[in-house]
Amino acid sequence: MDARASAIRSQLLILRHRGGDSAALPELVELWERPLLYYLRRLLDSEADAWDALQESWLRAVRDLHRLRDERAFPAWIYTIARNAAFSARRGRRAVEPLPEEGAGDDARTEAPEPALDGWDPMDVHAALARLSLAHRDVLTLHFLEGFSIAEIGAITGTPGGTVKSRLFHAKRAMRALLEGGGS
Amino acid sequence: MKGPELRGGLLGAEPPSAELRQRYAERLRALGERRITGASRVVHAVSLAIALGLVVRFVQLFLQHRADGRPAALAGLALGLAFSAGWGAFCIQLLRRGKEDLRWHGFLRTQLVGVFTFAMAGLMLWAGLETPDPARGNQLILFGLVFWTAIGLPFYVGHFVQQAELRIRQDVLRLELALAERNGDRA
Repeated sequence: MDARASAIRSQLLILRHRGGDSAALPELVELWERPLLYYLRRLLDSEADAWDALQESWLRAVRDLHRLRDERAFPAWIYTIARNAAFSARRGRRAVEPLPEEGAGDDARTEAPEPALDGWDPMDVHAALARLSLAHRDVLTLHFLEGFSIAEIGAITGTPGGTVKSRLFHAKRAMRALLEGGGS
Repeated sequence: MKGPELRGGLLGAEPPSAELRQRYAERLRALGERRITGASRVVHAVSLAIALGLVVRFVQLFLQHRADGRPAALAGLALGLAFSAGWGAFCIQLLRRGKEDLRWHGFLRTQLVGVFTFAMAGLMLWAGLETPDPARGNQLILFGLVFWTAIGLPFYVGHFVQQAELRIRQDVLRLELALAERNGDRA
């Protein structure tokens, strides 16, 4: 299922949940399990940590779902929760590692055309993601998985739109260099 | 490589561990449940005993008055009997499971109490109209009307309006979803 269909299906499930359908919430959890796990896996070192963060994310999401006024905002909202859970876990494990907001160094604006990433094999993209910096992995995974806009990525990562734009540009350029270099 | 293709490819690139997924699913299931131990077990046991006592008493009263009782009074007894039996069954189920499904059992509890009190207010109106003593009848009608108009009716009207709104929005979203899936297939 593509990102747009997932987003609409989520809205439907949230409405069913609000209407008292007890089967809707497990379906919502299942619908987002793989994308969120993939994202968390990019932010955390082990799969076990990613599953723990996913569980923590749903705990918070279920608790706060009634506060989500606009169901259309669900994908960005759940990714924000997941990201916060991941970075809480990272802080718990390694307090000294800089977070993307602190150490990315991608603020330099550029007028160059955006690097194209069409036509690459998803397995190569997946392998290249693992070799990018945490900050680049973060924004690129959000961009690739859900096609989030600059503003949405900014809201998820708590970063100004201009910084997200330049970070995404540099991340794509780094990814392209890795792909063209045959992953070496 | 289009967006949906890339998304699908990435998600398929890293199959999750079955063991970790199983552990996660078990923990997630436990999040929606609360164990019934200690004090809450005692509360449910006492509640069950009261419900069973009420069932016995309502059956006795019903059998005593079934020949000479007024229809509204008999309906009230039947309603009380149904509620007590329902509540007793609810307690038995919780005690046997040893844990409470926070959503489902919460919903069930609310429905039991809501339907009972709403129906009881209706019965008070009926009993008020039927009773031969006008003062007593007016009092019953007043109680029934106050409950219905001030508490019950707004709650149910609000609930039905909300349900209708949710259904309309779901219908619109189903159409959007069908379009998105069709466009996704074309992409």
